[in-house]
Amino acid sequence: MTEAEMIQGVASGDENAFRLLVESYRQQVVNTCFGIVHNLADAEDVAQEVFVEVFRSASGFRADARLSTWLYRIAVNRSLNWVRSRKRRNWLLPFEGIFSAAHEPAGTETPASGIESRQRAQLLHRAVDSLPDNQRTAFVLNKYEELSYQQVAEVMELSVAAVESLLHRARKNLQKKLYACYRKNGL
Amino acid sequence: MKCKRCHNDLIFYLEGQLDSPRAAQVEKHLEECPSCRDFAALLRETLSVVAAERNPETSPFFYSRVKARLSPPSGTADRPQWAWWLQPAFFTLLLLLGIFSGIKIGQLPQASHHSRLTSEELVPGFNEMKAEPIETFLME
Repeated sequence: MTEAEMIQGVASGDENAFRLLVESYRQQVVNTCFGIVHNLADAEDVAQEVFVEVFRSASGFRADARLSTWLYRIAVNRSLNWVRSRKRRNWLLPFEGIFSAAHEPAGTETPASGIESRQRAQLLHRAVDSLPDNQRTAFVLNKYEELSYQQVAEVMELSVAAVESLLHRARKNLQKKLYACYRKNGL
Repeated sequence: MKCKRCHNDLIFYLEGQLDSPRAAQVEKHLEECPSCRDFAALLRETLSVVAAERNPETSPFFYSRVKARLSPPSGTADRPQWAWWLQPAFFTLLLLLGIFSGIKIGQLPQASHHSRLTSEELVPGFNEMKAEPIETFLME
């Protein structure tokens, strides 16, 4: 089944086409969401919302765009919205803590194992989170999804030069943040 | 090469994005400077987290969860349209009733001024005690 047939099937309510679409793009969407939300359970939650949105708006999909590009856009927007709402929720955390003693902070569940690698992962996540949205998006698409500058430019609807500049600044900012952390820890 | 210059190029060097003369300069500096070498090692390890985190294993029930999100929650699908308005309407009515009775209670002190006087008249024993000092009462 081609991309066009798949999306047409989803638009007409064909469950098999939708299942095929979810199975084909599940990894790509979860991976993108994970790069932004840094927690597998939350990434899966956001990815499920992405597919629900795809199902509901499949009829509005333009045939000239690539399905994966469209999915990346929805995944990035949904993940960034999720991070924003988490920030708002974190405002209430001190009050929630009074009522619930056992609260596990988001971002502790990573595939990397061991205390050291978990610390390194948290350090990287904090540095990535501190980037502006457009730099973070470009970084995640380029590093987690291994998209080329051209593909990132298509997803973000920018020129390749703009993406190059975004990634250059993202790398410099990441290094600056990480260097500050290392110096703070006495290195 | 100074440490500051090395730091400017370090992440690009680790990602293999520097041209060979500049990469050679960074390499030479890293051989000579233990502080930059340590930071480069730590930076490399931190950046390697991305590769370790790439393509995490997803839940085998992923599709069924998406399907569950698509179908409306049970018990609400066959609810008629008017039922959605019934609950908010009831609570609004309750709120208005509360406000109305609040206003009515607020007006009570004016009315109770008269009722307090009548209650004093109804219990003359206490009022007499107030008017007549205890010494006079005992003397009698």
